[in-house]
Amino acid sequence: MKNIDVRLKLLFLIFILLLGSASTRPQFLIFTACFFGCLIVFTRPPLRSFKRLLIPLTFAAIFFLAHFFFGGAPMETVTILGQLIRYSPQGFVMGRLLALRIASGVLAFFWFAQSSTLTQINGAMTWLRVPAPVVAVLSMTWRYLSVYEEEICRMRQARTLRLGYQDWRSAAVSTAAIGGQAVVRAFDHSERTYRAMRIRGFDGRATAERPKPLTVTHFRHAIPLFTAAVLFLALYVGRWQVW
Amino acid sequence: MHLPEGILPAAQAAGWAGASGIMLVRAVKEYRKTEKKIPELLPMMGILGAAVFVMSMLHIPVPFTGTSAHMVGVPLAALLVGPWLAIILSLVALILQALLLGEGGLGPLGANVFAMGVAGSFATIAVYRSALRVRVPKPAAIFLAALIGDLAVYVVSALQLAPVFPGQTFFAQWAVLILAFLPLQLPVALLEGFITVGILNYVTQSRPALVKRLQQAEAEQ
Amino acid sequence: MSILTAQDITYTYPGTNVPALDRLTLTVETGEILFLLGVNGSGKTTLLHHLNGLLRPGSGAVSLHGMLLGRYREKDLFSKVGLVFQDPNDQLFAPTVEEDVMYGPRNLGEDGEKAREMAAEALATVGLAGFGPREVRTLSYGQKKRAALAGILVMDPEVLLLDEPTAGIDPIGAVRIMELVRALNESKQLTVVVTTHDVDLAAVFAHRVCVLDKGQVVRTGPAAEVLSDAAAMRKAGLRLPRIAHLAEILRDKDDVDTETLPLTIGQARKWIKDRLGNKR
Repeated sequence: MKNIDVRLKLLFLIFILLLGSASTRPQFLIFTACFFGCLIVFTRPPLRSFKRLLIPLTFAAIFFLAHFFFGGAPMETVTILGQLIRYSPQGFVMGRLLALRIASGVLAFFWFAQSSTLTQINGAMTWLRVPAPVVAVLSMTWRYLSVYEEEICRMRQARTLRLGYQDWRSAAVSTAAIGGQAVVRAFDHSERTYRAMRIRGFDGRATAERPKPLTVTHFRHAIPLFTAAVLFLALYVGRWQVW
Repeated sequence: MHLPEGILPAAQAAGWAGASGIMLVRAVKEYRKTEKKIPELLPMMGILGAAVFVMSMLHIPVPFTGTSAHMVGVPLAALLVGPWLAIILSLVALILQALLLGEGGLGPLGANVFAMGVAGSFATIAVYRSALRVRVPKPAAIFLAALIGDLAVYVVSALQLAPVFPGQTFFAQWAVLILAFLPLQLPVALLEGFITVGILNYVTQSRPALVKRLQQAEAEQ
Repeated sequence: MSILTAQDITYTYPGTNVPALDRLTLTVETGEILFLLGVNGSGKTTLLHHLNGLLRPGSGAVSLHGMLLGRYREKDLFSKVGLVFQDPNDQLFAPTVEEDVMYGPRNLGEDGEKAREMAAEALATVGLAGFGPREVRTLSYGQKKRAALAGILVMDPEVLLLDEPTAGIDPIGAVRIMELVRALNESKQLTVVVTTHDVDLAAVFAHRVCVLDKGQVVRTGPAAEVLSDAAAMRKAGLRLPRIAHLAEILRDKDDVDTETLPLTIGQARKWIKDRLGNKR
């Protein structure tokens, strides 16, 4: 996985997301989710990174339930634990499809995010002709995220220790003060960084370095991806049945 | 509110991506224009982007709901660097949120950029400039702009979600979504308004010359 | 022969009334290690920023090889006179070490492969071989300092300006950085100007020392001479090197006879042995 060029991974991801959003077969989406679930396990991400899946999967559940209960006529009823539940069979189908699309899409993107570094992703974005200012700003924002995370965390701790977060009012005031200080520090910092960039030849123009062209070696390393893409396509068009 | 991966059908996702793409082309043009006037624009956008991103992750207790939420950050960005450059900052923030936090994704990126970067920024600036024109005091103008900007993000997100939400008509679907989010989002938007006023007040007092320069560049956008 | 000359320069930061540099004149000789000593606010960093053209004086002039800095193209000037900032977080702005060190050569027109090679060489010089793919945010402070230094060395400057290069670093790390700088000075005849208030460091590494106070030069000369001038050092808010201070106390309070004060441990060892008559 490490040897596969991120540009090819990104193209594969786009291909899978397109198939997923067009597919109307839950089997295809379940297979996609399981496939990427296994790939994710291979990348061995830290356990805490799985927290990221909570919100989108919650969204999936909410939309499934919304369609299930309010999906439109005809409505049917079912008794569960002595309770009469009205549901929409049409809504169930739609909700299930939507929820599976979200789950499979989220897992595919999670795999991509876990198996690629931002530097590689920036290179892929430049290759895809994303404008240089976007790539350059992204690069620099990423670089300084940890610096500001630390700094803002320290400012917040300092205020918390002095009872700045006792209730929502004081929290709002403290957050405003921290925000103001953070923005001012960012301005000051950017002036110093600008000087540091100037003395190394920066002329004010945001540029991004184009990655080297793809070679036969890149494609060779990506054979597993191409194979997977063919399998997905076969499954999508229904020629190949998983079950 | 970030639309999660897979929620939009391909055609809709492509449509929103196209609309955002058009705005982004103009945003990049404005960036190139501004970088000639403010040569330190790249480090400023990058570092400010980092600061605003981290700020937007801070949890603030929301009054009356017992929950905590976090700022959108787009109104602040728009008021600092102008709506066009705020689109670039929003795109950067959304990419990082998708990669680091699992919020959003590649498919709905165009839709999320449109809701946050385009709708949020332009609503903020439109309200801000209109309020100043009718001589509303500046702090009140900032408050209103941030409040409306914040809510605009959610209104547009609801618009984007409405086609995939169950309901009789598009309007009914949209209305249900807005009503579902409003009770939680309104207090957050009010808070964001107050906090944005506080932040800009602090920045204007500490760095008046820089703020003036940014505002001049923003007025030309 | 002088490489850099600051002639009668005065500079006042916008929005302030007090000049940060006040009719300051200084010459930097080719191939020397010059330490600028002074307390916080004495004008060391401001002077450094004038020496590489980042700041322009309100009056007076700075010249490199006899030509005014303003006559140089910025790219040429910055590649000849390199400046390493005090805080490496200000200087390291790319996500990975390699990208950051390659930044200068790329802007000077080198293609990607050549810039990569140059970066690898510069990183090896500062003891960070193999650190290229590492993300900057994962480096320790000392490693960041070295990476920042590599980012300037890769541009092959003639003059290296270091702003508090050892601030915030452990003592052994500080010595290692200065030994590296001395090695570059000796092997490449690299002229080095260092700002610091660490007089013990100056005693070991400086050829010449210039003491600043309130934007003016108080004393300048060979390191041994200036660092022994207790009156000038204290007037500028600095202390003597610890060893020299001990010798001064022994001289003044315990009547130990000495004409000169030792400045380093090596000199103190000889000084003590001479007085003990080489007794065991």
